[in-house]
Formats: sequence, C-alpha cells, structure tokens
Amino acid sequence: MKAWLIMKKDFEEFKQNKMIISSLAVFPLLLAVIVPIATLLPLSYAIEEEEKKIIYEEDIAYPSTNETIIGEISGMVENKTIRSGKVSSAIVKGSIIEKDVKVENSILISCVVNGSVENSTLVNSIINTKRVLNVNIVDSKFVRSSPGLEELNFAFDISFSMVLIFFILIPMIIPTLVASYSIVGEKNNRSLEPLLATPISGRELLLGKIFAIFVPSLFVTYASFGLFVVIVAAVFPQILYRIFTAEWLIALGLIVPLASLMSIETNVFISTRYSDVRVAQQMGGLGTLPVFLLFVPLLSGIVQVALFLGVFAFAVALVDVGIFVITDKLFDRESILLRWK
Amino acid sequence: MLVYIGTMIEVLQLTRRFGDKIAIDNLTMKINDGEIFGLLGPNGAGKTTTLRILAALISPTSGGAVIDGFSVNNKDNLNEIRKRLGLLPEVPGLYETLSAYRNIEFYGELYDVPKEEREKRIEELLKALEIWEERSKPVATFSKGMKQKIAIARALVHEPSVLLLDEPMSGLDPSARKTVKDFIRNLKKKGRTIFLNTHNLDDAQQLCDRVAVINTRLIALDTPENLGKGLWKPKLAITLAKIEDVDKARAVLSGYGELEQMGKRIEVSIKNAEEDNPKILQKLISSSIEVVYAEEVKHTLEESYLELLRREGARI
Repeated sequence: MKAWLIMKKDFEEFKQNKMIISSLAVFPLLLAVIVPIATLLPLSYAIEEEEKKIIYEEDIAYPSTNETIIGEISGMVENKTIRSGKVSSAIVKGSIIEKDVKVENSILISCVVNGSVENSTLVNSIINTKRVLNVNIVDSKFVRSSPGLEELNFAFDISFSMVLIFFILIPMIIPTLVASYSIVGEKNNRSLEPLLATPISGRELLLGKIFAIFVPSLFVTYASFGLFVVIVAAVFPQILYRIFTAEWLIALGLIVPLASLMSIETNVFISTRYSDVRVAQQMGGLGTLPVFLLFVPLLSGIVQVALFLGVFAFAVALVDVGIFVITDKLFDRESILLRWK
Repeated sequence: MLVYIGTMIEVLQLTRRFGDKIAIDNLTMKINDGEIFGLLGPNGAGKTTTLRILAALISPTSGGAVIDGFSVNNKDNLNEIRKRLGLLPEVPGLYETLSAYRNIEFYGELYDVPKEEREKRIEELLKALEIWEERSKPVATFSKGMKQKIAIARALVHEPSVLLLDEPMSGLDPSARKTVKDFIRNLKKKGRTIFLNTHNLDDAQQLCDRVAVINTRLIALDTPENLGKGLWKPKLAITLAKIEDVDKARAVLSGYGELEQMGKRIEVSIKNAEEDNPKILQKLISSSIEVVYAEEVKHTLEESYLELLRREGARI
C-alpha cells in the first residue's frame, strides 16, 4: 500500500523538522498539567473544606423532646418534636423538625431540621435537608450533604467533563495547521508534480497524508492523557476511579480518534482546494468550526451517558467516511496542477 | 495493447485549451524508440503542457498521444504509462529535509522497485552523477546543480523506458552540465528514449537526434543539422591568405552574385555544392589568389530556430 510510503516519508520530514513535533506535542502536554491543576485542584480543595462541615447521622446528638406537635405553630416552642404542619414566625429551641414540616420566618436554635426552611435563621443546629431558601445559617452542621457541597460537586463534575472534552478537542485542534499544509505544502515545494507522475492513486496519497498526521496527533493526545492520569493519581487519588468508566473509555477509545480524523480530513480536503499555504491554513481553521459544532451536545453535559457517546461515535465515524469519500472523489491530478500559480 | 515497432511516443493531432487560450494546437509527431528528442519553443509555446500530457498528469482537449502502446486518452492506461515514464520537472521538487539517498529511495518504493535492486540502482545512479559521497546529506544543503542531478536520479530509479526532461540543464554550472550531458548520452546508449524540453539550443544541438520547434503548433521537425534546410541559400565560405586579394576575388567570382566579406573571409552564393565549389576554388587558384581554407556555410541550430520563429511571427 503506497499510502504507507507517503506516511513514512512524511514522518521522516516531521522528524527532521523539530518545530512540527514541538508544536504538536508541547501544547497538549502542558495543558494536561495545567488543566487539572487550574480547574480540579481548587474545586477539590473547596469540597474538602465543605466536607469538614458535615456530620454523619450516627454522630447526631438528638435533643430530648417531651411532646410531639402537629399543625400550625408560632411563638415560642421548646423541646418539642414537630411532626407535620407549619412553623411560622416562631422561635424554636432544642426541638426536632420532621420532614413534612415547613418553617418560615423563624429562628431555630439547637434544633435538628429535616423539613424545608425559608427566610429563617438557624443557629447551632443540625441540618438534614436540601430544601433551604434564603436562610441565615450560624454555627450549624450539615448531615451527609450541604447545599454548598452539592454546588461544588456539580462544578467538579462539569470540570471533569470539560477535561474529557479537552482530550477530545486536542487531537482536533493541534493537527489543523499541519493537515491544511499537507497537499498545498507539496504544491508549494513543487514536489507534488513528480509525485503525481508516479503510479500512486489519489486515494493512496490522501490516506498517507491523513494518517501521517493522525498517528502523531493521537499519540500526543494519549501521552497527554497519560500525564493527566499520573497527575490525578498523585494529587486526587480519590477520583481516579472516575476516569476508568465506560463513558471515558468510549470517549477516549472511539470519539478521540474519530474526532481527530474528522478534523484532519477536513483540513486535508481544504489543502487540496487551495494553492496558497496561508489561504489553506486560514480556511482550514474556519473549516474546522462546523466540525466543532458537532460537539455541542458533549459540552451540554450529555457526556455522562455512555449510550449517547456510543451513538455519537458512530455518527462521527459516518461523517469521517463521508468527508473522505468527497475528498477522494474531488481529488484530481489535473485540477490540482493547473491551479498552480 | 497496440505495438508501435520503432515508435515509442506518437503524438496525434494533440490539442489542449485552457479556457479560450490554446496551449497546444493540433500537434502531431513521432518519437522513435531509443532516440533523444528535443522539443524547442519560446515561453508559452506549449512545451511543458505537452510534457505534462505525456506524463499523464493532464488530459488533452482533443487528439492524443500513445506512449509505448498505451494511449493517454484511456484512463485505465494512465498508471501503466506512469510506470514507463521518468519525469524531471522544471523545478526538481525534492524533499529538502530528507537526504539525497532517501529522496530517490522514496520514489523507488513508490515504483515498487525491490529493495536490493533499488539499493543497487541508487548507488549506480548517484555514482554516475558524481554525488554518491553526498548521499546522506539533506538536500537543503545542496547547490541547484546537485539538486538537479538528484532529481534526474529520482526519475531513473525505476528504469523507465521513457525519460521526460523539462529543462534538465537549467541552473547547472559547466562541469555539472557536462556530467549531465554525458549521463544523458549514456542513457541513450542503454536504449532509453529521452524527451527533452529545452531553451538551450547548444545542448539540444549536442544531444538530440531530432528536434521539433513548436509555437503552440508544430513549426518544424528534423535533425538539428537539417532543421534549417531551405531557410538559407547555400554558400561557400573562403578564407584568403591576403586581404588585398579580396577585390581580385570579387572580380573573378562576379558571376556568383554579390560577395559578402568579413576581413579575409568571403562568402559566395552557390547553387550546387558539388559542382560549384571545385569551380570556384579553381578560378581563385588560377588567378593566383592564395586560399587558406574553404567550407560550406553552416547554420547553427540556434540560427535555424530563431529564423523559423521569425518567419512564424513569434515573439522570441
């Protein structure tokens, strides 16, 4: 297969040109270090701080109550278990507020709060509910969870998904310049004419050019991912398990190579259509934008669903085949040579 | 497969248009197996377009060409044609960061030349072109002449039966020029057919068995010596021993029309060399005019070429 020969030759040219290698490798490797440290580390620290505020159910010292109340309560209440109903404009001390109780405009001191609370102040209480709105919390503890922790965990999940998106985008962005140079570069060096005079088919030439860029891009992506895993293992070992999930494996094993191929194919196609290197590179950048649009669903958070990722990978594979078929069909020795200025 | 015994390339009513512009107009010519054929013409005459059509890089608008029995008009033939051709384009188009050896080896691989044979051929070619010692250096460090030699070796690595050379001596210094010319002559000895596009008429005269002058269409096709036949009246050039004898000679040869004189050299118009030359010399000697040297006036290829184009009204 002559595509292999083209690929081998291009590799050798890359090897001789240290700038190509460094431009491909340095940026993703650097980001593999910077991204987790800049995004996950502060969040992880904040979560840790938030978790310190949490106590566990078995450690709760329930206040001793002498009466169970059901219904609407206001005024001063002390040492009661309020089972259902509403607490409004009340001062409640040393009591247990059960799940079905709604507290409004009240002050709760040394209570255990399981129900919803609005427009109130909680002092020295134990909070075991997520339904708090406009509440002033003083010297209190949360059981298992806290509203702050929920938000932080959500932010951490989003950041973690963004890291995955980052690993999908690396092999799409990094090779664009080299890919858009691939054919127009041969034209520019005047090496395309003797090359096209050999018995190589357009398809072999295109495949060789595409894979010559695809392989190093993928290598660099996986190398930067490896570095990311090492950093995660060292700094956040507790979240290492999150990387080795079906979603991440589908994304890294299927979507990363397919997305990279899509970007490279688009740029190689553009490279066959222009005779000026600068125009090809500029158009290559623009041409990749619609490709990125395909990844909007991933950015919207559906990234968590393995099935979606599988279907998405299949769709990207179909687009890859489509782009290659079009590029191959439109690749014509004559028009390429005659577009030479 | 058609077999043209003795003809390696046949160009038949070949026409190529680029929009309204005619690049080649109804060109017909045959290139024999094993000959060095030169295609001459001014810039824009269609030389490179002809070469690209023969190299199966672009297609004709009408007419066609048959190379070693394969027509360029049949798309299924194009790879067969490419296997039989070696192309040296006007610009070498080498991979500058790769070594000389690797540049040639890459093409050997593309032409499926087996490894051992490939290595042997590359060595032979680089030694013959006197660049074997430099084989491992990147091409970017080479002079233009050395690059041209590498490009020639690259075109030959698969031992093509036809070699298409576009300005092969362009940019070469006299020594490299001689090496390349000797190399081309050796290729001819080995039976290769060589199709040469050139502006350099001295090279064409020295190398080519036949030349064609084109200016989009064919103007003339013959051997370099005979290309000017019929363009000029035959003349005999005589160098006299003494300049004082020039007037005497003019009187003696008055029957041959007006003499042209440059110092001691006179030129006399003749009709038939075999009859007229001995008579003229006899007349001079019998009139006690001492003759140092006599020869028929010959015109160089350059003179013939320029005259042909002048008559064609071409911008030279």
